[in-house]
Amino acid sequence: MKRQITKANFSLVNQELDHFESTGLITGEQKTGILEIYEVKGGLNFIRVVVTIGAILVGLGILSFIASNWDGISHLVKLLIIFGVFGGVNLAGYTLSETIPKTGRSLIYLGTLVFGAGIFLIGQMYHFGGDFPTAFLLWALGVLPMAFQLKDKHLMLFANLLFEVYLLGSFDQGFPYAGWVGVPIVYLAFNYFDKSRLLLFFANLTSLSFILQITLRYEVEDLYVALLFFCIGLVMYGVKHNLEPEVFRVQGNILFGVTGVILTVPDLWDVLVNVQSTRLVSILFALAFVALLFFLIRKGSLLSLIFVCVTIFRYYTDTFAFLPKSLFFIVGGLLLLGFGFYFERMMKSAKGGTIA
Amino acid sequence: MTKRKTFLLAVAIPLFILLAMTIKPQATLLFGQEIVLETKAYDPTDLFRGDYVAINFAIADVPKSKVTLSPDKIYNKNLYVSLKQEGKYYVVDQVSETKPKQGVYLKGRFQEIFNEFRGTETYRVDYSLDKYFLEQGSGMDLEQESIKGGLVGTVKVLSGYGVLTGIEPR
Repeated sequence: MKRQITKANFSLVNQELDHFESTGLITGEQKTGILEIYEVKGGLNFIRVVVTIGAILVGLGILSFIASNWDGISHLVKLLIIFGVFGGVNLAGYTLSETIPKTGRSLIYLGTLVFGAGIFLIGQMYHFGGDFPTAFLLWALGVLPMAFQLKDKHLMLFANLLFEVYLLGSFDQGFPYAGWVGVPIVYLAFNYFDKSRLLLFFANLTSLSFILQITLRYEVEDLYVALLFFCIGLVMYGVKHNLEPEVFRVQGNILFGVTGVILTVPDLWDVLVNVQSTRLVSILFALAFVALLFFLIRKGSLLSLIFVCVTIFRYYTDTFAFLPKSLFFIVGGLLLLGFGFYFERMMKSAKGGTIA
Repeated sequence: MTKRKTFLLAVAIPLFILLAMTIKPQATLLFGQEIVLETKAYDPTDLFRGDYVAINFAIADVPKSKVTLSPDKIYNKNLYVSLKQEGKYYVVDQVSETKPKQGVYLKGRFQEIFNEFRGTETYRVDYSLDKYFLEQGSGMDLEQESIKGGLVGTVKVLSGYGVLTGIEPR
């Protein structure tokens, strides 16, 4: 296993070794030997991109062929073809894994799409009714073993996404326990797949989808769902820990930002206060929300700036009468200008011209 | 386990899933009892399974008078709907919580939706028998037939599980 370093670090090592060689500290052979220890990681490999997209196209073609339900071949023959192609691409993928690894891997990716086509073919053969969310659960279950076997984080990501489609598509149907099993698995996978941040991001999304599924299953009022996710977002953003804090901060910020904007909708609040005061309560919430965002902007959160803009836009397009809206915006804007002016002057006098 | 064996396992599991999916419906096709039901239909598309005829069996509306259970034991629950033959078609006989010992019956989920067209006199039941998949473009004829005078669906039933086998003009 080669040591994986970034492209920038690799060129630094290369540069330094050149220097050592020129000063006679090491020989040219030693330099090549050292460089062979390293491998540039992360960067997109053109061949890998080409073969992977090729595999995805073929896979989508097969999925579409199944959906066409062309009756030139019987269902049974189609199923046998699916089995054959699935076995074939996996066998080829395995044999090529040593000699032509990138193409080999893409054939295994193709296999996972062929497997999905098989699921939908069976759904079609026996005329399964409903929306068939189970298809995505089964698809994820079928991709999972290969993802772990090859320790391939892209396959794991695919399995995770399929599972999420299942969770979001099966609010009142589906197996209630799938989430209790699936959510731990996606976190285990994150741990197993060299702690890939991408996997953590999607594992968090899966847990959030699962929580949403539970709230919908138990018919929790929209307001409480939005407030719950607002709080979860704040916790994800604010609580300090060592597990990829950056991922949690970004997700938390987006989550409480989006739910915060949603909570400025007056109609949501009618479960808590009477209909006449919903507008007032929502505006009070909006003011507190924007104050929080300003506080976070001051701490360097750029995403919060985006949500301030979204909130302003949301109120500008609201159905208020124009005159009060005009007053509201002008007064709000003047207040901000005034605060800014006050703070700028204060800091200038305190720190001698630098604005932190 | 060697790498080769785990790879084989990773290939075998998806194949096993596919095979397992076919057991229940295939057994129903082979050993189930065939019943004929009245239905209406129209022709939409599913992204992955393609064109289908959406069908609405008469037995999907169960009159409230046929159900003696208390309301909290009905909505969002899977119940057994016993069917009896009246003339050519099978119709709803009675509804029970436990598996009937004899006769033809289907397991269905009683849905909690208010249907303004049918009023409040019936329960809506989902038997997962609402889609008949066919080759793209061939569903329109059936839809036309359905508008003209209704369709007839054939279903194979084995211990409460049904598989659609055919649909044709009345």
